[in-house]
Amino acid sequence: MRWRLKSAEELPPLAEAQRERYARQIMQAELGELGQRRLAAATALVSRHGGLGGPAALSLAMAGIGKLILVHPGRLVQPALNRMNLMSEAGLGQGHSTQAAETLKRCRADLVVEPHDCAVNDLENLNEIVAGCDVVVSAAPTFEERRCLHQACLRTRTPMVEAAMSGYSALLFTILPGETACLQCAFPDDGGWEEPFPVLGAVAHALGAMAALEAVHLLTDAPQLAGTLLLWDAKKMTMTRVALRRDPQCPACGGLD
Amino acid sequence: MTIVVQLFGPLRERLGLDETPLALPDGATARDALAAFVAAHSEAADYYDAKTGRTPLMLIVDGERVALDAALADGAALLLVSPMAGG
Ligand SMILES: [Zn+2]
Repeated sequence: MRWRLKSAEELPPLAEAQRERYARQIMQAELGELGQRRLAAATALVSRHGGLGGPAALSLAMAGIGKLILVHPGRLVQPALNRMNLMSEAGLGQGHSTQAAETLKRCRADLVVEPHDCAVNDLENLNEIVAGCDVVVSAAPTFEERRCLHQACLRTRTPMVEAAMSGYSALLFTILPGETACLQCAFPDDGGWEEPFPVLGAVAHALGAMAALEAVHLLTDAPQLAGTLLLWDAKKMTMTRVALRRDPQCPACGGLD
Repeated sequence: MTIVVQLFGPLRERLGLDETPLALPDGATARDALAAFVAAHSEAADYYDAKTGRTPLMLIVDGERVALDAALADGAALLLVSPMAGG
């Protein structure tokens, strides 16, 4: 579904408990009660919720998003515990998404969570799942998963927040399919990307929080990074914004309107 | 003329280099800069194919993405962003 904000008439009112819980962000003029209602009615998919997607999922849950779909393959291993803040030592050897869902439900009992202990490219009904989302956060450590999710977003016209990092380099931008530059327009080639890559939790967490913030902007007001690449140099502590243009010849989005 | 090449992403880690000055003939293009940079840093060889002119890097000057044939000015900062998928 093409990105658009839901109008007040389409949204249920807030319950008194929601008004109380989210009072400090409702007082943020840009968000307000209407924004809170938009969040409460929204569904987001987070592809991998490790050091980057985990904080993004947590921020969205704490902000009051209605439903989170969590997708992450494999079982928790020791070297992930320097950054995966939805996981714990007690969860070593267990599936990531089941565990993340439990952590998030402890923070917010009324959150609707749909965990999938697999990668996006293992989901047979990925297009159907993505079509039911208002936004998708792309935070997997492989281009294979990112491009698969991206394909589903283009096919279903679902907005995607692309967040990626390596060491002290981090990038963030939003794709409105058929409107702004897609992942393929920005990076046609994977450039020999391979795991493992260096990662300090604080860098991944900060980028994850920024990805969640961009998703909140998109869900409640307007995306700030649609067609704009934000580069965050976490070593120099500088940020650069770069305009991204659609490639009319793009094999992924060239024919979309 | 002299420009500054700034690195971002995995290439920066591979070379252990944030930025470096690069001397170029006047009127040099981004392609010339990339070729000279790769010639001086053999570990970056797979980021530029001189035969086909292909590169996976995003080239940025003054916050604007530029094409390989863009002319560079003396003192320009050329930011080379290598693709990354870390999450
Ligand atoms: Zn495209």
